Amino acid sequence: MKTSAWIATTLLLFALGCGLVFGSSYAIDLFGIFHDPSGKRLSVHHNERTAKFFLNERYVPVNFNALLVGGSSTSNFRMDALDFARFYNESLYGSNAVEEKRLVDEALRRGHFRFAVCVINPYLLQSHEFNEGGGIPPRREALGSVNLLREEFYAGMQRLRHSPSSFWPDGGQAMPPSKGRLDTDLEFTFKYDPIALEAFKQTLDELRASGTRIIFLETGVYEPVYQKHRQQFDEFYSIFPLRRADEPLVNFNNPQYATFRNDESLWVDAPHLTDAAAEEESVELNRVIHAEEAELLALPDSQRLKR
Amino acid sequence: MLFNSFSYILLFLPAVLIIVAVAKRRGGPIAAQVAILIASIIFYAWFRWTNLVFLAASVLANWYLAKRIAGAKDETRKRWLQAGLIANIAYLCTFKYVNFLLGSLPFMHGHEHLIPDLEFPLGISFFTLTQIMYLVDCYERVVKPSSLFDHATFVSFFPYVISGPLATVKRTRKQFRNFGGTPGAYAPMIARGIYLFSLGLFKKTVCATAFSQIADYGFNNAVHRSSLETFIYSATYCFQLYFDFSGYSDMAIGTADMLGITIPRNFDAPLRSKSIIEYWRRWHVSLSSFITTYLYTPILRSFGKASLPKAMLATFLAMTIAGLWHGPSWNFVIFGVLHGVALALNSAWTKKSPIRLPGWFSWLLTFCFVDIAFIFFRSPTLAAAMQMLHDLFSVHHALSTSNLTAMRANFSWPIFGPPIAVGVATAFFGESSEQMAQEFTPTWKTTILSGAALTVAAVFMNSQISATFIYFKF
Repeated sequence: MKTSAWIATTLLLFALGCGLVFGSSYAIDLFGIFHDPSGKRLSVHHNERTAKFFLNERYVPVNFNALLVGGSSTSNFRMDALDFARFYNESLYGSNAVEEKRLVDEALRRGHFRFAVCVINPYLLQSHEFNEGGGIPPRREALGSVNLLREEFYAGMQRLRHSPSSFWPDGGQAMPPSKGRLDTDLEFTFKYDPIALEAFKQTLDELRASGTRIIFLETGVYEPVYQKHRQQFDEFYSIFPLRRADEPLVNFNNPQYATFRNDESLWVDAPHLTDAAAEEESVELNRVIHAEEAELLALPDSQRLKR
Repeated sequence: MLFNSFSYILLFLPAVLIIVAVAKRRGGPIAAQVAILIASIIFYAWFRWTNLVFLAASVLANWYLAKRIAGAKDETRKRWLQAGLIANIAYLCTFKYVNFLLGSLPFMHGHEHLIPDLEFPLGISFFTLTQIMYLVDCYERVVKPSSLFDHATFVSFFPYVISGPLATVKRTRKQFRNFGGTPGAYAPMIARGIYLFSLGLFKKTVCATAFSQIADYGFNNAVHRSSLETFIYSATYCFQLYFDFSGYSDMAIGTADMLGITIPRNFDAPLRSKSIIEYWRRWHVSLSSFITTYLYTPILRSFGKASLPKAMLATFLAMTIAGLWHGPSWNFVIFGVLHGVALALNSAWTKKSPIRLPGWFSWLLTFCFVDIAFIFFRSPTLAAAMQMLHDLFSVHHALSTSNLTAMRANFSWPIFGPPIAVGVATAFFGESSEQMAQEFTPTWKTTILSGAALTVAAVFMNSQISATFIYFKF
């Protein structure tokens, strides 16, 4: 082979290789970015942080009109149990307010959401660093990247094995089963990370500014653990500075839910419910909102904005 | 600008190649050299343009010092060299060690604000060493002093200005006429450069990244590590550093090839070494050469008549200084001391011991030692390094894999497994990429290998994973 031919062939192979990768990513369009994702059922396959970021670019704004902004304690909540809007579950494992803001920002760039259920718990506000060192992935990653390849690989494997993804098209995911007796010595951090708090404040302000009605949710904790830290929990929530008086709070740590919280069989660990229990709590959340906020749910968007 | 960035590969490098080739054709070698100098300035300023001041000051000062050394005689000549060496070392120390030294003083504790926070100019460790070699070579009359134009081109040459390989004036300056290629010989050099660059890019962006997924987890997140896990974490860091730095060197040498000149090789499959002496002949070869010529030899000469104990002491001192050169931290000092002791013992064993160890055992011993020394290199603090050592030799749960099991949740074997397998196989059994480039011939096999390496690397480059080179901080 002549040297000049070698140079040309190598560069051509490089260009073809890149074209093949980028072209196939465009055609597969795992995250609904390049083609209209209306009516599609797209889900995370492996890495929820990257996948949800990209799903929020078009798929979430087009297919959903409400968001659940939370951490792992709400990741297995059933969005179809909330019948007053089409909810997308933005919860991430080990999430914090900065990571959630990243997702909400992306969704708000193109979407309008009638409601946002915003979880408040110590986990979300105790740190601000991106888990996995993620940050905001550049959009070009959707055309071919390690993160995309990984998602495509697991999507392919799930299809080959006919095993459904543990992630659902509404953003939720199944919780792994309990590993035995619950650890009642679980420690919580009740300090506000100022950066996380500021990110949460900005998220709420952005949602409010776009006319989204916010419903706060205090997720339950396994009763013996809750009682152990009760004073700290109460102080944490009592000084929570970001909820406005007209924004409802649904609190699953209220005494009326103590029997539910005390049932060890409903918990995977102290802050995480089993899938069945999470479904039960989702139904209860829907009932409470209907019962206490019926008037608000009935308001058309234009009037809700004025309020 | 990083070698493994789209801006470098798709814009900067092709633009420089075209401009230099056109300049050579239209204006001759001087015009090509001007184009290289301008490109080098842009490349260096890309990271932080204020750094240019420090580079320019160093270039001007050393150009002047070299002229004075060459123009003086006898004692004055020596004095100028001494002044030059002191000035260069002081310049390096000002940026690199002031905080470390002042921070080590007991009465400075709690007064951190008194310590000046000096900005660390990128590549200062490398361009200072390059110019120390230049001054010594001028003093020894190995080379004549360069014009300011040649000296600035030599020091700031963008393929090696940030992280080497360390080049000498003697070998490099005479090639300046080749910038933009020589008729008939340029196409093979470009092809070899592309080949080596593609291998280096793959090593850095794919292999080093894959190994870093395990090493970073082990050093940053793992707790109660077992001996087995600690060994795996330190070994994966060893691979990560090898692929990171040798990949960078390949890209530097490949870039220089594409521009028409040859710069020193830096790695020769070091993880296959069967002794520490062999390891340092294969690892960071240009630095090893500097240590031997400009540290070890002068130290040994200063002891008078050479003997084995004196040679061992000189080795120990030279390696300790080399350890400290890596950065202002006791970890690097210990890293240098460990290698100094190992090299000294290796020399003594080779010369005095009648026992010859089996090859596989020598290799295993060398690899384990290199791994352990790298624990100090990688750990953020001395306490963290000591904890790793404690974990390594802990007998309570030697074979536990709980950390590795926990890591599995976030580790993608399908993506990172193949590069790790390729990395281990090539590091232990394959030819070094520089060797492959030496033997390069334009065939279908090499074109497919190169094209595939570039494509896979492009996918990794398009991902949000660590991109900077480990050796940039030194």
